[in-house]
Amino acid sequence: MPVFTPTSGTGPRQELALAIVEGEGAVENLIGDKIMPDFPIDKRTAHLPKLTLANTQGMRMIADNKFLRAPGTKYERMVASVSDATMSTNVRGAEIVVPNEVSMEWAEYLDLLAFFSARFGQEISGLTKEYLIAQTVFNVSNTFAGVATNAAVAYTAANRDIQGALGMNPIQDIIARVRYLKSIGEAPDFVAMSGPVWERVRTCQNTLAFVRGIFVGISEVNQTNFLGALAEYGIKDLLIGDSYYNNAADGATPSLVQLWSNTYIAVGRKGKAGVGSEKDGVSVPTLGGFGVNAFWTGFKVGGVPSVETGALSFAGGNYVETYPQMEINSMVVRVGMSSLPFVGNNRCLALIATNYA
Amino acid sequence: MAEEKKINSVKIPEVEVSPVADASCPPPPIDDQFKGLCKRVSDGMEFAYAIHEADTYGRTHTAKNSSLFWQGVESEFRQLFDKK
Repeated sequence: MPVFTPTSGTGPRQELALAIVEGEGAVENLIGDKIMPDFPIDKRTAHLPKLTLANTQGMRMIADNKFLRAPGTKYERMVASVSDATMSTNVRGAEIVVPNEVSMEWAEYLDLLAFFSARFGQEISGLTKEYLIAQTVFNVSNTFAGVATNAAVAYTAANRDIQGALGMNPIQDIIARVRYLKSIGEAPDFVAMSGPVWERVRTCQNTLAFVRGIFVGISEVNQTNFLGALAEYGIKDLLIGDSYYNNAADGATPSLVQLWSNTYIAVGRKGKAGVGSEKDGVSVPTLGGFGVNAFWTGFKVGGVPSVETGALSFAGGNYVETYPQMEINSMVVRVGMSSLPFVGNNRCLALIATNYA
Repeated sequence: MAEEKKINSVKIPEVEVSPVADASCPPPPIDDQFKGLCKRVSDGMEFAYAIHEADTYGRTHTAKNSSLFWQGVESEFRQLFDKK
């Protein structure tokens, strides 16, 4: 008989200090913060003035005859009033106990504290923010119209393959919403949709025809040339929400659900906070566009949002921390969040109901 | 030769598999799932409505007509629409 190893389990083996992680890389390609960027506030609730079109002479001109005046006569006087808006963050959190005995058993092979810190901080925190923003953006209540507009032709698999008036036509649906938003005073700059809707949009006959145009040879529709086709209408970003979350019970077979549903395509103006600009007709710091993802952090006295969260910060924002609980000889990993997708201006959002099936 | 004939006579099973997209995202109701009519309180516009299992975002009520589409929870529906 030769010398042999009886089984692979009892023979010599290398113990790898690596872990197999299911779902690794699943939180890439999040789009929420591109629509509603992070916006730190210093107290749990913040208040800011709101300058509406209706009450602050927005988008007016003075060509009317009543503004003509003879030298030495009075000027026509305008009136204005300042409204206000309030954002109040929600505090939420979760934690997990890692017994020291378990950590020691896995020592030198797997750092459980590092693993759960990263899972809480990058994955759970990231997916939660993305879900809250998706729930806010894909919500007819947050549109100026209060309803979505049906796609002219439903986005079904059959309608994808029809060219002309009887086929689905996403480009025309999007252009119609761009025109609508401009007509209510806002210049849209993004289009957002789910991954499955994007697959149907990019492969439908009418999109292929529009993007190829008349003089261009055969080409596939990708995000670059689709966006190029919409650039004429002011669209600067095409955002494809293509991430999933697990809504199964602990330990059960994972049930993965899209964070961005197939029900809508959003057309709107991204949220932005910035300094005033003479070019845009305002010279005060503005919180423009649809809104921001406010979170409570960096406590300090006064009303200016803090960018330095060091000296006077405290646990109110989005964070991961660990603390020892010695009566059970364990370390506890905790994730805390206070994200609030705050809709500042619902004129900046219009929804297309895709009737995807 | 007899063996080969037997192999070739196996009938390929016909099955249907749901697309991944349908399984991973509860779709809004299809047209024949709308069971009643309602009017929008603000302007009297007519909609068909459906009550269904919660979608991805927890919404259980959908209203729709040829041009417009609305989806929300029961309290919002009661506030915005009157059942006929």
